[in-house]
Amino acid sequence: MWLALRLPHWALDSRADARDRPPVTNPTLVVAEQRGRRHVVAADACALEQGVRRGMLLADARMHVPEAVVLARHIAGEGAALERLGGWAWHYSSQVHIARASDRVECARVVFEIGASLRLFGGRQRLLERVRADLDRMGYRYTLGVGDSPHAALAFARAPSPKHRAQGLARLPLACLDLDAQTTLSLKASGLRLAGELLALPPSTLVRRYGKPTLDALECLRGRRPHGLDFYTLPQRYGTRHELTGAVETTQGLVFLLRRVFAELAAFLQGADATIQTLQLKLIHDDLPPTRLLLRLASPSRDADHLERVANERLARVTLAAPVLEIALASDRLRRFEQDQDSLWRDPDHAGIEQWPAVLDRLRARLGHEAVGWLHDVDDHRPEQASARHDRPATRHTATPAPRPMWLLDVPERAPAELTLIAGPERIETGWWEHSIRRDYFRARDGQGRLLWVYRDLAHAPSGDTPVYYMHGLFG
Amino acid sequence: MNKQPIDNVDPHGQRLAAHETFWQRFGVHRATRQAELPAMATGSPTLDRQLPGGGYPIGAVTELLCNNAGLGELSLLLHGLARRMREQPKRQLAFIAPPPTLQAPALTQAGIDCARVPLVACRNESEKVWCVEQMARANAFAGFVVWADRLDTTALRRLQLAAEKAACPVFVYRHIRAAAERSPAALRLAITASGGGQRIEILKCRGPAGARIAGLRPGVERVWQFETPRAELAALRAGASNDIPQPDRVPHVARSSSSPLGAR
Repeated sequence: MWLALRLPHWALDSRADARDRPPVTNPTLVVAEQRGRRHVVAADACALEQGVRRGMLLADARMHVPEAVVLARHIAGEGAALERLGGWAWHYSSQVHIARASDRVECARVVFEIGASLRLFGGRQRLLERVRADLDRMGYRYTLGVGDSPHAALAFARAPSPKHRAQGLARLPLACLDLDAQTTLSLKASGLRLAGELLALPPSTLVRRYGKPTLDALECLRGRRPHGLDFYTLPQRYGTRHELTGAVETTQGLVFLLRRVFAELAAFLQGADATIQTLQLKLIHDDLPPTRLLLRLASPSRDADHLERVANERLARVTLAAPVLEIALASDRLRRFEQDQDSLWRDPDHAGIEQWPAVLDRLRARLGHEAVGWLHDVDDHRPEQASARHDRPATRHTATPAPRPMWLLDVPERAPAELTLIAGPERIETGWWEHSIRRDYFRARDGQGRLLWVYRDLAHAPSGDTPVYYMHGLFG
Repeated sequence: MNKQPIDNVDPHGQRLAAHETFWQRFGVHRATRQAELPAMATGSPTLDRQLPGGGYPIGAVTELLCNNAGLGELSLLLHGLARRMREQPKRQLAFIAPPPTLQAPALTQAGIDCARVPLVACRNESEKVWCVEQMARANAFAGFVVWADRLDTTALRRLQLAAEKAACPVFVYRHIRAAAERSPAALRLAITASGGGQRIEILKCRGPAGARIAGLRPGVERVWQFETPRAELAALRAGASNDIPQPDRVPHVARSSSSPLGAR
């Protein structure tokens, strides 16, 4: 069983901000040039109400909607958006065919096999409900058909009304079949109106009167021939561009757009069963170099809300140099999503700990990546080198047996005169290759009651009876 | 046969206790008794005895005031926190805006695993409070330690709310000058040094305040020399002398649970 989606106004719907625009704005048309004349390839709901139809000449459309905003078709953007939709369809099937409008394909379409997924999604009705809900959420205009072969599903998707879809393949009008215009005309002239009448003709007659391609098309329709569609393959990484209908000048406006962008990313990741850890967000301006935002997550994620929150924290720190015309996204390699085993009894402790990576991302987005760090024990005798700060927790531990101070002074200073030595000495003598030290360390208490880590320098000891102590750390 | 008398022993009292535990969950207590305060042991029995609930309050802010670094102020805290970290092996301890001179070996020696201590650097006081609020949401922490001198009452209240939400203690290090200011913290400790050793003064707590613990001495092996509690000492001694239980001690143990003997 196959499901076909036709997206007649894809050229407009594929733009990131086309679906969220307030209804008071002017009607919008997308036009493409063909043999020197400009045709309407997509129109918004407002223009359709005024009588604009796809395929109209722009001049005719202007008669209906003189105030319309006219946009040029952006083929790369349409392709990118269709690829994202392919990733979404991957959620339902592993056999997905996508095609955008071209000379041979009348409008953008997505066809995928659902027969194998019916049981998983709880039956045909449930699955269709889910598909419809997803598409409504993404805001695309579509027609949907289900059939036994991909071509039958497409034929049902072309049916003019739901009544036709319910009646079966034989009752579909001939115009729903994917035959070339010449054949359709000659079939009509012969008095054929419905697909059933054509399917009832003997094959030999068909070939003789209408040529072999017609028979092939009908055999494909019945599912007796290979359908010959190429399947969409999942990319290694998520990389796409969102074309905007107009320039966005404020970060507030971008926040609004990003919700849509990340909803699509989430649909893609859900479908591809994948997670991402880094995402580069490129805001493309007209003449200035693009503004780049790099979102690095603490752990791979596919949660759109989380990504959006991190992106918004980052955006709050950015001032836009110029209006944004386009948003490009590029992820790192997609990783397989791994679902943790949940315990049978809900562990409230564990639920909180799972949220830590998300909180870490939010902290880093606001304070900067370097703001959160962990201390590492370094296996080095020199006190100055024994501790280091990195941006990830240590995995290896080395323990120093002797007590070390909590706070280490950057530069040792002369210890106060009034000192009571508590413990020591501990000889530290190392690092001859760069910064040689040779010291006797003591723990001491000074007059103010502070616990100090003091040393006597043996390498540069002044000749004299009274030892000179230097304070190097404090036991906090 | 044995069950019958047990059921009859003060059924009224039992039911009352059940009622009390039920209502305590909603924060209702009998006026004649003090509610049990959730607290974590400080690691020093002397200090535990002075504090209400027997330790630092959980789900509340504790202020630690000291006039300069090097009084063993963090080691004192880590002494208690190390045990809490051991008891909750999945949770972390967050350090918000610690002085940059913090050393990993010292933390390790205090019994804290550095990999479970994220350090967050902040630019101002409001960011510190924001950090604690964000992290309190994750519920993945055993405690928070904040270094912040210029916290006002509002900020401390926000910390208090975050501590309640995360159900873990929040410790704030401030300068001793702040002792003169009012504070909504549940516990305020001043750590000072005098000639004979360190002194901890309880400036404010839930219950009668004003206790002082003087003469906390630095140890040779570790920063603080805490006295070992008597009970633990006795257990240690018993464990050391009798690895195998002596026969004459067995009846003492058996007497408390009489049913197995009766069955035999």
